[in-house]
Amino acid sequence: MKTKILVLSVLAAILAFTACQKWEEVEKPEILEGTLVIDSVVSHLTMPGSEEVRYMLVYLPPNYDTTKRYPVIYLLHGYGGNHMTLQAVEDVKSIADYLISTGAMPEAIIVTPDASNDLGGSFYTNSMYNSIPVFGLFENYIIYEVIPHIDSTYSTIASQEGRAIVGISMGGYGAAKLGIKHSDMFKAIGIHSGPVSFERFLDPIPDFGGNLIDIILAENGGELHYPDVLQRLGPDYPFTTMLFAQAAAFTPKLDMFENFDTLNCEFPLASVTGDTCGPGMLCVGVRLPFDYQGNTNDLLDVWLTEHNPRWLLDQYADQLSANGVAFYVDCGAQDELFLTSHAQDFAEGLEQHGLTYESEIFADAPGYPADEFPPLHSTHFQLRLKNSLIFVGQYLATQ
Amino acid sequence: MRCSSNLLGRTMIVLLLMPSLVLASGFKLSGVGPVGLSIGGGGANAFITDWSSIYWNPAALAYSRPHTANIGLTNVLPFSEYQPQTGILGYDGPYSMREKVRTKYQEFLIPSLGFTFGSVGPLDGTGFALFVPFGLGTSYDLYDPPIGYYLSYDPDSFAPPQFPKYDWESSIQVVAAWVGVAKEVSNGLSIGLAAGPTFASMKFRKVKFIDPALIDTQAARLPIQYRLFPIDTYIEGKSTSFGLGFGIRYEPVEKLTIGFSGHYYLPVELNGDAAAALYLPRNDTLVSMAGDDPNVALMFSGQVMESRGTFDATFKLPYDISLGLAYEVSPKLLIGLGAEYTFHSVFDIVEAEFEDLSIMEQPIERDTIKAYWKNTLKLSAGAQWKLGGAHLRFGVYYEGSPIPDSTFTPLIPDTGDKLSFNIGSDLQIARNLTLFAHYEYIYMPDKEVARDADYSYLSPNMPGKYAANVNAVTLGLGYAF
Repeated sequence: MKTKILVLSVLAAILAFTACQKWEEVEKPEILEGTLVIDSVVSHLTMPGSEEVRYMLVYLPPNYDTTKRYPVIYLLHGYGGNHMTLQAVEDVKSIADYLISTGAMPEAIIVTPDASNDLGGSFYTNSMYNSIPVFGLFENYIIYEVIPHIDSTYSTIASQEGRAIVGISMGGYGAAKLGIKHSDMFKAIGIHSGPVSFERFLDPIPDFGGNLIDIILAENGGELHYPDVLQRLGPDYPFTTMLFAQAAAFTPKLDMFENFDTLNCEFPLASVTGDTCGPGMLCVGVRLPFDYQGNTNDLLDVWLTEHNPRWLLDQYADQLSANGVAFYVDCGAQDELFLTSHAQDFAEGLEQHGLTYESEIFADAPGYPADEFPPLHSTHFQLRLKNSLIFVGQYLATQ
Repeated sequence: MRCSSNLLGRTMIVLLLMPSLVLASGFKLSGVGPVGLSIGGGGANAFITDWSSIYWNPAALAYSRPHTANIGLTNVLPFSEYQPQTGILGYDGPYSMREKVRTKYQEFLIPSLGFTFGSVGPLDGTGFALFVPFGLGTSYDLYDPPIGYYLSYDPDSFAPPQFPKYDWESSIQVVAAWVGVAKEVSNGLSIGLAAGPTFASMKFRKVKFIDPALIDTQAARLPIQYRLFPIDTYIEGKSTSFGLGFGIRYEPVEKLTIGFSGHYYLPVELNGDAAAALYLPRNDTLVSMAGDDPNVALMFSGQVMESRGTFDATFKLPYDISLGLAYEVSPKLLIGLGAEYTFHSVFDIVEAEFEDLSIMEQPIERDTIKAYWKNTLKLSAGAQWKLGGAHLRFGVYYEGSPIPDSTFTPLIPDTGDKLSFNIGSDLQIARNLTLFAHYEYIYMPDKEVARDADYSYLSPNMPGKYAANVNAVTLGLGYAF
């Protein structure tokens, strides 16, 4: 009898093990979906003397609730893009959905305004000539039209603690410039591959034998001549084209056609009515900081000071420190626009001023070795954006 | 007789349709029959004299009880877990979309069947068994197209295609139907042979990738989500082959038995269906920026380009030899020790040849599965304690993994050194009718496959952290005529 009890006990124990030990497959985290809204504002600033509808892409976080207040991240697009580009290429919405759903960043509204213009990009700058708007006041557009519109339309934390500004390339420049100049409005700044230290434009470029000015001259056969150079503006002459866009933002000119000194690289682009510029016409144009042979002129000081984020950093360091602004800076280690040294220089400035920052010269990503996937201007932008969103998210107030 | 044939046929169908399981080493199972399993295989080829000696050591059939019929059912509950660290978007990559992924919950029921017929003519023992020497299977949901893979201006009119949920799957099933014979050649010395057909059924599904930069170098500058395009690949085939077992059983002195045995299998010539489906990304913006370029339009169309064909492959099953000792310590206690050496290294490279299979109109003619498995040594020990008319059995075995890190993937979740703990018993529940039971727990320490500097999407392994264990229960009935 004892034997049977013992054996039956073993059998019972064995059968007990057959009780289902079911487990759940671990799925990817539940991703809550936010909403994309194409919003617009009638701008009186981006088109001098007129007004126009300017669009912006607004990401509302999952379960957006108007009884709550949300921080806002202004995400600035790059040269050649518009309010849709980052979403259309990098799927910012899914990145934000993922980060918010996993708690890596707080619930936030993300706004990408359109800062494009006829030259490919406004550089988020007030284009002024003798205090007269020329190619649009895009800095003011962001500060005085976009942000008030967002704060009045959506349920935002309408203060510095509730705002961050992030951008890539031209957008990185814009984030740096606007963030530094308006440190009372933004708590954190993210700069991806931004031209933020203009002195570095004059540095020799390894394996080239010249600096960026020499590259621009080389693109144009050695010298810049009017009107030939205007025919070349476009994607086949990227450095020249971006130079003209920057000049339109930083050192534009509004004057009679005859008053443009073309030998000293003052180029009329169009009449104020939009026609081809010619004798006797009031024209808008650009002034380059060097002449047709690449010799720098006095305008270079304007570029290196009031439009140079590195210079602005020095000027506004105390305000930035007092306002507790934090910076995220990165750039690809092999940036083809030669901006790697800009990020390094800018990070050194942040260090010198004792500001809070995180910086990275991006070499590769796990599984994507740099020799196969060189860390260029926008390589791995999804990952870098993820990093900067997490970073700025740490400093944003939530309710 | 007719009843037996029907039973046999139905059992065969059940076995052939059986899902897969994870147990023992590589895709080799722990053993056959509740008695041998209960002692962890420890000295089983010197110890076992029931129907399952057709597997353990056919020479023992010379001493088996004649005229028995046995049926068994094993319930296997394998558990395996994988934390990818591939650096490939879609598995983990910079986004770490998943932390751990567990196999699809599966319980496997494996029937077995055996008969002993006693002496026939000059033979001192004969028998027949239907059993499963090899089996394996996993089913993982590992891959999803990464963030931004599908981007359309008009999400309402473009629905991203559904990538298969279970995208890494394996199923290897080998069923043996063997006849065994034994002859006692002298007092205490017998030899035996078992042989018969093996029915193999195999299925593999995995994700492969194509690098668009190999087609257009400009693609290397695309956003990271477009660096690799996934291909869902699938093969499924069946084959019939032949296997045999042999053995010697010797009792040099009273109470001590020595067994030496082995198994050999002819290569399995698999043929069956093959399929591949390339999931192209969708990006309306890139298409728009490229103007009317038809190649870009196709590349970012979001289409699924499917192809179906056939394949042939030769699959070698590992053979083994083993040595066992059984010693009767007392009339109530029997102990056994065993060592088994398995030649897993026959599973080195599998060449598959395809017909009518293509990707982007490029024919796929062959594929190579690199395994480079290592031979393994299994050490086992077991004991049987007699309790009146019943027995209690205990056993353990230890065996390493044949799979090197360089080819380790979730498809065969043999994570490494295995320690199997077994307990079992039998009880006569009616005249001539005995109930057998066995429980096995296989412990495997966690395994980490490192991603070395040379790792790429073409590497034959999958870096990451692996964990696995197995619970199995066998119930059997034996009837003596």
